[in-house]
Amino acid sequence: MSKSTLTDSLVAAAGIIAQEVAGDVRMTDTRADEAERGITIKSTGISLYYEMTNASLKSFTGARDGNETPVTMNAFELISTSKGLNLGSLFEKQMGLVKRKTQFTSKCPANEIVTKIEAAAGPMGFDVKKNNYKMKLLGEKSGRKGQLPVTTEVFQVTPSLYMVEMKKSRGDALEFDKFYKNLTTGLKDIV
Amino acid sequence: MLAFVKRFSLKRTKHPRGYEDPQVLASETPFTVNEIEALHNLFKKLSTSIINDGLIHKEEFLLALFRNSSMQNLFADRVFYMFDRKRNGVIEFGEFVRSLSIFHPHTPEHEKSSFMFKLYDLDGTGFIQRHELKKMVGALLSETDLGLSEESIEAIVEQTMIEVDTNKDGKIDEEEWKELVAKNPSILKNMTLPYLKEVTLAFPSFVLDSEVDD
Repeated sequence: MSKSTLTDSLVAAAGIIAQEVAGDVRMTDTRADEAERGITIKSTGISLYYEMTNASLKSFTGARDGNETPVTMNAFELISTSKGLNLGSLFEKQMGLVKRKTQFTSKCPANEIVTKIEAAAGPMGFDVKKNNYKMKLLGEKSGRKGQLPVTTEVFQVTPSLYMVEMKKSRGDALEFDKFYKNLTTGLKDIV
Repeated sequence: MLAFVKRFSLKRTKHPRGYEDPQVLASETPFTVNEIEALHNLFKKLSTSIINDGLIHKEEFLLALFRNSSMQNLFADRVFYMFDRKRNGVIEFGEFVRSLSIFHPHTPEHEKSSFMFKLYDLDGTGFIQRHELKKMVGALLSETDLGLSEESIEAIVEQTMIEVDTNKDGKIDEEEWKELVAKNPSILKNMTLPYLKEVTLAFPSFVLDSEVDD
């Protein structure tokens, strides 16, 4: 197989031309004299779009472009969010504690969820940092135990159903509870 | 040793069935004797909330978990079933401690993984079958009152079966489950309760009760 034919095959794989004509069409031999003589004279640049699946990206820890969809949650991860499996609440209720982590589901598209959380948390005095579908909200210093850091992540269950997880890494539990309650009143339309 | 015997004869200890000696339980679980005494205080609260017999009945379990003794929840039912090792419809103190010990941060992961697999194996066939997974997804979604369509539930189940059922026999066996857990350790996060290391603070025994100083 020649180099031009290989290039055609790649272009066909990207769905731009039909596989059957790959090799004959010689897409990158764009000059008239190239086409006529059946040879490549100058090099031609071409961009092909390939979509990587979430599965193949799972081990990629580098920075990603802001355009892809949120991390997909499989059925078992989804099931594990059930209240019936959270025995911590046996202790929390007895110990009078408030949860360290909570979640809600939404049918709203993921990027809208992120925008709405940002819009609700901002006026509450939180500094918002976004990284794709993970957000870090940092409360103001006047809290009881210093700043309240909250991490939020949006997971995709199906293309029309998302789960938003919120947890605090340190700071006052009561403040977190208050924060979550205030936030959800602001997010009423998406929860 | 003598002090221990003295305590036993001075104190009228008539315990409900299923009570096990804290020393025994401590030797067989990651808990210390003090922690088991603290768990006993928690157990006493839970097991006398509706029926005052020192045994945790289903309604008392649901009340503790959801503040609603008649809550309908597939997963809570399964947890209760798993804790009730003798299958006599109640959780006794020994069962309570031994089952909770699986959730202890020091318990090895394979025990937690195995517990979860059995919990999800609704009909106890040794496999998590497709229809069981579908039932559980449906049950979870009904907790959220989102009203998802049959197609969406089917899509979620299908996607997961493709990923997990590597030998394509329509069900998930324990080997496939172990591979899934190795790839996604977060699936087991419910199986560890950090609170278990703080029980002595939350449910303190009075000094007179305990002979043992940790």
